[in-house]
Amino acid sequence: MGSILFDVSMGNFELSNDSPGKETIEKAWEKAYKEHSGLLYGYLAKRVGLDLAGDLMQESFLKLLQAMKKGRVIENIKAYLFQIARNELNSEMNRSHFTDGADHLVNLPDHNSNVEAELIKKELDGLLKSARQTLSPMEHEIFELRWYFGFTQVEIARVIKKSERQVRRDLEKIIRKIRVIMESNGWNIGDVGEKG
Amino acid sequence: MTTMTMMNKRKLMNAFLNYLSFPGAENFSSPASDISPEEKFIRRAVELNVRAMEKTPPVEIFQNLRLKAAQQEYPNNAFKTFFNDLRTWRFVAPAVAFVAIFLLVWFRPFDTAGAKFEQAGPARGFEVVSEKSVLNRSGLRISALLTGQLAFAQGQQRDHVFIRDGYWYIQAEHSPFNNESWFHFPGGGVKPMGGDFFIEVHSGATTLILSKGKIQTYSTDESGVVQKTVTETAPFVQTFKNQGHLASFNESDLLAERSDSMAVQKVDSFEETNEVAAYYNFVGSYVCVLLDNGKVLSGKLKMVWDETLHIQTRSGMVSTPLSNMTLVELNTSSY
Repeated sequence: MGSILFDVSMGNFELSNDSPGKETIEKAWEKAYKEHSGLLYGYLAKRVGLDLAGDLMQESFLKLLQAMKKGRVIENIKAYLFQIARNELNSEMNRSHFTDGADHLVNLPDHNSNVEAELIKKELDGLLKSARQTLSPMEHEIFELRWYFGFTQVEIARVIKKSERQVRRDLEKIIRKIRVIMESNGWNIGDVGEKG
Repeated sequence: MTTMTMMNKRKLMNAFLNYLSFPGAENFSSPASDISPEEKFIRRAVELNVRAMEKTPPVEIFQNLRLKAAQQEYPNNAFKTFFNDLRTWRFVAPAVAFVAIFLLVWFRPFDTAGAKFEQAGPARGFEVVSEKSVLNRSGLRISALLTGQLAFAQGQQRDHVFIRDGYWYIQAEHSPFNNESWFHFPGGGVKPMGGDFFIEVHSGATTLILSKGKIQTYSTDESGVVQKTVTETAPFVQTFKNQGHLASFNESDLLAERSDSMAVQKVDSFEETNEVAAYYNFVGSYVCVLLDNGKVLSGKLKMVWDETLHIQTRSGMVSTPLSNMTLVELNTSSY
């Protein structure tokens, strides 16, 4: 009997007609590491710092490998990895008595900034910073996954273990709040140029 | 060539909010070739955000991971294949279950809802069974722990036992050759499906205690109409509110269908055996103990000492003197 083993929607892995062998699993796992470790490491580092991020990321990838070995159907590797990482993060926060996800963000040096990024930061981040203060921790997390990590709504739903409908509803709430802030602050995007 | 595209502030704001709200599996609503400058800007912004979030992890992390990964074992392939196969049937199985449920609901082969006791066939009248008597009947052993009244009736497909009062201990064999039997009491009824249970009819309620095996129960409303039928497994306790429907049961209808004593064979009264030695064989086994006060204890018999049984129950170690016990049963369906 055929089975979909790995992430087809993300184009990462192929349809498998038989149970995948050891080699296939390890190759798929290494590919997952290559593709998602950077973002996951950044996600974790932003919350707990680089040292702990490394440990949590290792734990997340080991759990992913375990699931793959057990033949678990994983439809979206990226969302699955972030879901595990988020669980690890929550356990770590409970152990460390952190209070909430937004309060202990670590400021990391941004090595990827360039002129365009600076422009976006200047025009959007100032506004979003004040908008974020009006969001609940959960809304903040959803907003962050959507805007800063480029997750789709489906992926967000999987990561935070909520229904897509609920995520959509939360996003609508977030949008309403941001819109109010934007309008009341007279968002001055100015003549932002785009090179074509 | 470099061109500067002037963007509308409101359009940019809308492009940003549209991006946030777009519900599809992809991130954007339109293909890359057909987008406005504002949407282009937002796409670029998201790209930059994601890139800014990415941090290249140190090489040692992957090296460590590979070492740890090599230590992880692979589970049994046979199981894995089996479960993968099951998954491929995940759409078929619900359909099969749905059809089965539909057939069950439509034909209701096991349903007793809506039935009344009066639908049972003619029976003998109620008879008083004295304390510690035992009745044997087609795979059933009915022990009267207190004096009580019961009646037997034979329906077309099932046998019925009507209990008016008393305290009964019933042991039912699970065998396809035995007739299906239903016990009816004020407020409900029970069908044994192999196992042991107690029925105690009080003035206001009936208590059913299943110590071993499986039963099907139903409860009735005030008019004696069956409300619902459910299957329960041991250990299980339920109290049925007495609705008094047995009182409306017309005893004259319970004609003696079988006046002979073949249907119900009365055997000798059981003897109390409180000898300590008798319980040594039970040590280490799961037992069910009926106490004098009507309570039932079940658990693992750890020790017999000083004419006292020490039983490991779910809630801890309980010690009970032999003198306080009415009955001790070996419970094969341990918890």
